[in-house]
Amino acid sequence: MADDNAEPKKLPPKSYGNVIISLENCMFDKERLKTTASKVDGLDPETEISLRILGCEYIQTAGILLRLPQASHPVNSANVAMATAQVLFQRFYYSKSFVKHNMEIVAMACINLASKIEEEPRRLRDVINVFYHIKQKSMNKHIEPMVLDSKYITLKNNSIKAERRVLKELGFCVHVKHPHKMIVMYLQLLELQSNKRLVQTAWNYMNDSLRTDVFVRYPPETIACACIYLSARQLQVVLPESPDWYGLMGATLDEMEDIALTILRLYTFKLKPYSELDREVEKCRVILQAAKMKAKGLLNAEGLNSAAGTPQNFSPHSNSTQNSPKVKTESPGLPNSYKLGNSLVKEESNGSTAAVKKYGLDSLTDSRVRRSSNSSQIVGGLQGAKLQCHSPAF
Amino acid sequence: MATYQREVIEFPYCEEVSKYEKIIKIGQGTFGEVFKARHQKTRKIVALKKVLMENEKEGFPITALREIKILQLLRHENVVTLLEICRTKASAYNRYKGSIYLVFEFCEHDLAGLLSNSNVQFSLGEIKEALKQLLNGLYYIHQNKVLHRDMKTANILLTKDGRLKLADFGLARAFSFPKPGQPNRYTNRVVTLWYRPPELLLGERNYTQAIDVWGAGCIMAEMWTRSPIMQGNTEQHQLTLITHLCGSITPEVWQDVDQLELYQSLELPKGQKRKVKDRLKSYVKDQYALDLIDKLLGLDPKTRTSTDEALNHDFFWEDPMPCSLTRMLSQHTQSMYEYLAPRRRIQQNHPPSHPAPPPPRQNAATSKLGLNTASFEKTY
Ligand SMILES: Nc1ncnc2c1ncn2[C@@H]1O[C@H](COP(=O)(O)OP(=O)(O)OP(=O)(O)O)[C@@H](O)[C@H]1O
Ligand SMILES: [Mg+2]
Repeated sequence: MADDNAEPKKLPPKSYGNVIISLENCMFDKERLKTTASKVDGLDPETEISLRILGCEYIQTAGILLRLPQASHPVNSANVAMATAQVLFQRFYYSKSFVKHNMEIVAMACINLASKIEEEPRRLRDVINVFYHIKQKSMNKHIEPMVLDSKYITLKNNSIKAERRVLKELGFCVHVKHPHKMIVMYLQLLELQSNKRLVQTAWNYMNDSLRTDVFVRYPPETIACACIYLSARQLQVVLPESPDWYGLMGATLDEMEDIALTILRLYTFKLKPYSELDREVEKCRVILQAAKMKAKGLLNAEGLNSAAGTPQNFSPHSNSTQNSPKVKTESPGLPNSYKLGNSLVKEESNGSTAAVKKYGLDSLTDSRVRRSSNSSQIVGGLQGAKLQCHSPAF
Repeated sequence: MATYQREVIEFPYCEEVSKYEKIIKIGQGTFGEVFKARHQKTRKIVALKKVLMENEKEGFPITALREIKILQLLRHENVVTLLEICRTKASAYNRYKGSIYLVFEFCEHDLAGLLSNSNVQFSLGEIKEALKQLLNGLYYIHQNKVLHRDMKTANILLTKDGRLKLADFGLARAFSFPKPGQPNRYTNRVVTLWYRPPELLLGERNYTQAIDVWGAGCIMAEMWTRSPIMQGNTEQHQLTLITHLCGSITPEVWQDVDQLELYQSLELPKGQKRKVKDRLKSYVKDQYALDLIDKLLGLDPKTRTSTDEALNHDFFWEDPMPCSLTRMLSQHTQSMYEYLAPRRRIQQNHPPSHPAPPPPRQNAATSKLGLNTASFEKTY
């Protein structure tokens, strides 16, 4: 539901035995977040974070190319569909691993699903084409329309299956509450809505925060407060101390600082190129496969009369890619050579602007998506700025 | 080397549907089949609605997503309760495309099934109770900014203990109040033709809750006539029938109606008087009832009565007062559904121009249930 006015009445989530039906955002506690499914599958945390950031970036870029509603200004339409897609993407990878579920296919599925949820449906064919376009662009290839061959059909089927898996995995709790409107509303309450730069900066931080895990850790109200807090600090705008405005929204200083630091870390994070990430994923996949076969083999050896039950493709020494002939080395998704520079989020705090520049997509976007970008300054300033939590900084 | 473990976080919400055993098919619509089913362990009876995925080129149907979201949002005693969502396992049997089922609380009857059985008699107090619950449900969903968009008797369910529930949110969607200069552009291909209000027939896309109120008016009259009051074959025909009942559609009775897209291109009979009360009085003896039907079937959606006003109408506050449906329903131990009712509805239920007509029903059960076979082909 994309309409701005349709804020539903708050209803308590109902629970039927172990079934919970709720429209509130799903959240996990910190302990749970420590062990992601990808980690269990052997993926190192750096690679996982990179994949999350990159996946969100693809979604954002694809959203621009698909002309999904983008915000030219916070007060106008919201960047809702792509934000929803990013939150779904993040949530999914808390229960499933990058090693077993191809990042690009899942990203496509999330766009497809989110565009329907937010009443802005796009054809799956267009989603696939746009991903193809992004990939070609990133490889500096000449852009050619995608051929509708059997590979395309497979891709399409895989992305439909992935959509179903996302729905299943998230238990159909796929509706996301976004802080967009809250930021605007809170700034109005603080009588700061006329400070356009502040509004825009808070808005940009909010969009960037989608690439982090804050949406599975905090309610949107708290994220909205944190974005205002961070922007005010950055632009040296004084916010009232008492009453504590964020307390009224249910946020605490500690939470806001945690969110702010999480967002800021994004700008210093060293993003690896996708080809490298994909190699890491592949490595884990191979190891996992081998372990699985070994387990099966052992099981067979113990249970049945061994030799006959041993899978033929089981190779007792296969701990590395080379030794495991049956394991596919190609990911089922798009080709692996999807390259990206690693300076992206460092340069710009505003994801979509960055993407527009990066992929040279200016011609494809209309003026609605261009934003006044004060972001490079912001980042420059913030990298040095340590957040001193309890000092009366304002 | 990584040890192979189970997934860390398991969302418990989407279990396998095999925990329920299907008992009998009770409904078939555009969206999917509906079954009565029983939980294997708890023996709890539920209704399972299968999400049809076969011809989905775009993945999971947006209509199903809407229905799920709306049902997750709505919690009210007069709105059918979604208990959970289940799945079948993907296997070679279904070419690795499992299906999804919505699991609802079970309701013993639907209103279409009840009205088509002449053994079922509603007293005036019972009609009042049913309508009160219907309007309460509508009031609640409208408060939550949801339009039902498919009001008809087959989508109104009743439990054996006398609770009426709005069901089938397959066409429902959230609405927003239009901003100045930015009218909403919803599809007007909604609402089964016989219950479709004149503004939709004239091409209005910026419609409001009033579209559901019109449907409530048609259903209210049907409580006495026992079959749909305006059974048009085409949109043009439906408008003609509306004009014959509610009078000519002109800018005098309906301000700005001439601005609507199809006002010029459709043929609107001139010089017709409004005869709602006149033509229904042989069925509906109660003056308050006639007056309320007249108000619910207001031509101009801007002045058509609201659910709130309707609930304050004298009809609900004069003797006989609304009285529980439990006693009447307890006399009927057999479930009654439109799908299981024989004859007339079989062809006519989905008249032309339904948004997406379902395949014809070949196997509607015969009158095992001792149903009345006299048909109300036309009310007039
Ligand atoms: N919870 C329920 N309990 C008992 N019967 C139900 C229940 N839900 C649905 N039914 C029966 O199944 C029929 C069809 O269900 P529903 O109206 O939800 O879907 P549909 O008919 O496929 O949608 P559409 O009317 O758009 O074609 C209903 O008319 C009713 O008879
Ligand atoms: Mg129905």
